[in-house]
Amino acid sequence: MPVIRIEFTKEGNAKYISHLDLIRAIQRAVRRAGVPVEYSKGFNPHSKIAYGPALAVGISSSAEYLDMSLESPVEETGLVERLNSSLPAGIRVTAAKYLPDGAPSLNAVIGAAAYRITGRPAVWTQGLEQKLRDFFEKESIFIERTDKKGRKKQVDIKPMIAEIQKVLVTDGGVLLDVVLDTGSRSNLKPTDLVEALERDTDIQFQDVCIHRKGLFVKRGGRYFSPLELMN
Amino acid sequence: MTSVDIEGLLNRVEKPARYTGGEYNSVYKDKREVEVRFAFAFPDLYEIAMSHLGLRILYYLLNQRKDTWCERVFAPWTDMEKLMRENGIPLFALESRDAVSEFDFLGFTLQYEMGYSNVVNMLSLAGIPILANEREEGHPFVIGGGPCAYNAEPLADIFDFFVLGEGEEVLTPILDTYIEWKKRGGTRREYLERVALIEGVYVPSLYNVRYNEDGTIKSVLPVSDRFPERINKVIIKDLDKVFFPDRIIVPFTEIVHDRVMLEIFRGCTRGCRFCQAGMVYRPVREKSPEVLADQAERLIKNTGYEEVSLASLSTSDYTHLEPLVKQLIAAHGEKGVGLSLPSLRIDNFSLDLIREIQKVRKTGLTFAPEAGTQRLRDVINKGVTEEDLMTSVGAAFSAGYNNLKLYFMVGLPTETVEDIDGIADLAFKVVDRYYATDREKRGRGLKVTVSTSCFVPKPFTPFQWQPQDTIESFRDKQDRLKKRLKHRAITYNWHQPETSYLEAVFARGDRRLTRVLIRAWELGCRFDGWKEHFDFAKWQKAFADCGIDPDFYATRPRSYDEVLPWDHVNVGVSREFLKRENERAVKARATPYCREGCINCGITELFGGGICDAGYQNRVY
Repeated sequence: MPVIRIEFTKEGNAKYISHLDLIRAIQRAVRRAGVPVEYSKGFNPHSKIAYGPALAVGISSSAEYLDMSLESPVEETGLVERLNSSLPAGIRVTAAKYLPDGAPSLNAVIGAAAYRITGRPAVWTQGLEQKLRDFFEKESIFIERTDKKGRKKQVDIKPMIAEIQKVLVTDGGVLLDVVLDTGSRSNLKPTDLVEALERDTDIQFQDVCIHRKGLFVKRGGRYFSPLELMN
Repeated sequence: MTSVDIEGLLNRVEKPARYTGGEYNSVYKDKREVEVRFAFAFPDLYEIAMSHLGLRILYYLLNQRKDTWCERVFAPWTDMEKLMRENGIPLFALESRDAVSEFDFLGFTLQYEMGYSNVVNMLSLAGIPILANEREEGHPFVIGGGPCAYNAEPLADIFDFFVLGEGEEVLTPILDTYIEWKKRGGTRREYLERVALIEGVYVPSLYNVRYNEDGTIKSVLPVSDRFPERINKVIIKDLDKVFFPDRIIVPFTEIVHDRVMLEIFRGCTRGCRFCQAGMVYRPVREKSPEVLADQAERLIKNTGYEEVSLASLSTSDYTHLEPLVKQLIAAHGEKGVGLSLPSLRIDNFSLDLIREIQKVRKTGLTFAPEAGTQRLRDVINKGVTEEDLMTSVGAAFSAGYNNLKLYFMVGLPTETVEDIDGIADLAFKVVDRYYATDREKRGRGLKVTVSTSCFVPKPFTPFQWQPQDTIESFRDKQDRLKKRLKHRAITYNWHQPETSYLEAVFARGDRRLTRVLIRAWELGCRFDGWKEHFDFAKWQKAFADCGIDPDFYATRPRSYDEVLPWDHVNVGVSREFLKRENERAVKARATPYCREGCINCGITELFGGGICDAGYQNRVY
């Protein structure tokens, strides 16, 4: 069965829905669009769609991905149009491309995500920008995580911050562009980073806004989108 | 219009998708191009509200009008309410996020009494005066419909008017009159006096209630002879021709009934004496299978839903059920669309049907014998026998079903300890039936869930004169069942008697309860239908503060000559019929079901005859 990889947005009102809700919304849009998606056999047939790393409720994204297995091949442009006329506002397909045979799954290749984090400090203090830079230059940043067995342990998230692209303080607030490890090997949630930042500095944000700019495959020290690099 | 900014709040509440709007098929209009802003309100959480069929119908019906934009507004959960109050954000409509206080209409559907405190809370959050007589020009008209509107006396001082019956047609003159009145610049009172003349509209402020010294009602009379002494409900005569939406909103977040609901008929041919819906939704009117097949087709296509449920009060009484089920499965089964048939009756449940449904998806089965003994089932006129139940249950087990739910009521009129024990006996007979089923055929791991609710006597039923059982007695009966239903395959669930007691108070309440309701809300009551929020002590305090004895409403027997708070409303079923049925009930005499012969309930008189699909020519009473 041909498998097509789809890039889509999750913005506006759609950013407030959970991963499970997103899956349902897409399943229904696929039905409405009449896309010949493959269904599993059995009593509760479900469409064969595999998703990339889940996005937390409240975080928007301009590039999420899914791989959809089709009963028969469909021309890409037509598919994008059909899906877009059936999707709820906020979810828009931006690109679609067939996977070569034997291509690894999204979760096998995706290793990083780029985020833009914006927020207004509750209190404006002197040297805000320096405080932010100092935070990111620390040798290690420990946070507490609970493992599968419920045990608490300290984890250093510093190595999971793959890149700090921009630290900007303006009258409007703080803007951070960061690339964080994302995926099954190493994963850092942007909310955990913000929490650590608030804990280690005296900055408290109000109205934090997090946007995922994209998910990436890391190859030879460079980042590629999952549509650019499929194997 | 004042728009609210809730972006800062949404990341701080559970399930923000309850408040965002923007779901697929939700309707957006240019507010400058409409004359009427209508907020359709459901006084409960999003997940409950969005499951309501009436909302699904009326939302699109109203939005068909070019001059009207109907939006939705529901009760915010307590986390959201707290943030809204802290940030001074008024109750807003989901689509436009405009404050509902600036709308033309705020229309509540009143599905159950336990939502009343949420009505008050929503008005308060909206900044709309809670009492109708405190509203001024510019405030929306607060209107109500749904089953509780038939006796909405406890809300009479809060609502500007009620719509009695099926709203599809009567909303047209209500809105047309409004637009004309608004253009003329009339007073609120003028509009109310005009809509009071529309059939099906009840304006409580135009009716005076007088009381006797013993606290019962002396009379309910219109303030002027221009207004009808009795207000008739309205109905849709031909369901095939009435508007039914070809799309419904597909919520982002999972709701209770997350599927297409196809309404196959209205009314009920059964005459269960406890059932208000079975009385007030008469007469029986069916939709043709052709119309239903067409509606199902379009709804599936326009929603992408993977399940269709056939909605009615008693699905297996639909004349064309089998061909309809077969047709729907043939048309949509291959695409993985499942079919669910709620409200199946035990006696005519067919194995063929189970097999048809099972082709697509296996769901649990629910049976409602309602009472534990044949005598008590005759009292309530639930015309099913133990044999019916056992045959159906046996068929279900043979077809591989292993998950059954059994619904009963406790506290029914004339009930004795034998009837309570009968519930347990029946449950064990069901378990035995499973073990008697061929090992090859039956599914593995039996699960029988027995649920008992506490009987609430409702207006417009033969039991409207009956006292409710006391809280203590309910609890004793539940304790007895807890002890007797100990088996690894049986799970026993029971309802909180305090909730049912309060429901009984408000179901048969009068206008003096408005004060209690507002007091309870002041004390913090809301979401009373939710176990985690229901606080009976606060309600008791509210009754005490207002000097009102709730037992007067719940546990007091009424005599036939007492004026009941809802006697000025005519739902079609006659008082004589209800009285006759109550008499037969206490003698444990069953009454035939409408299709066996007309039992002369009175409904055809209200609508000039010929309206009831159950065949009224063959009158047996």
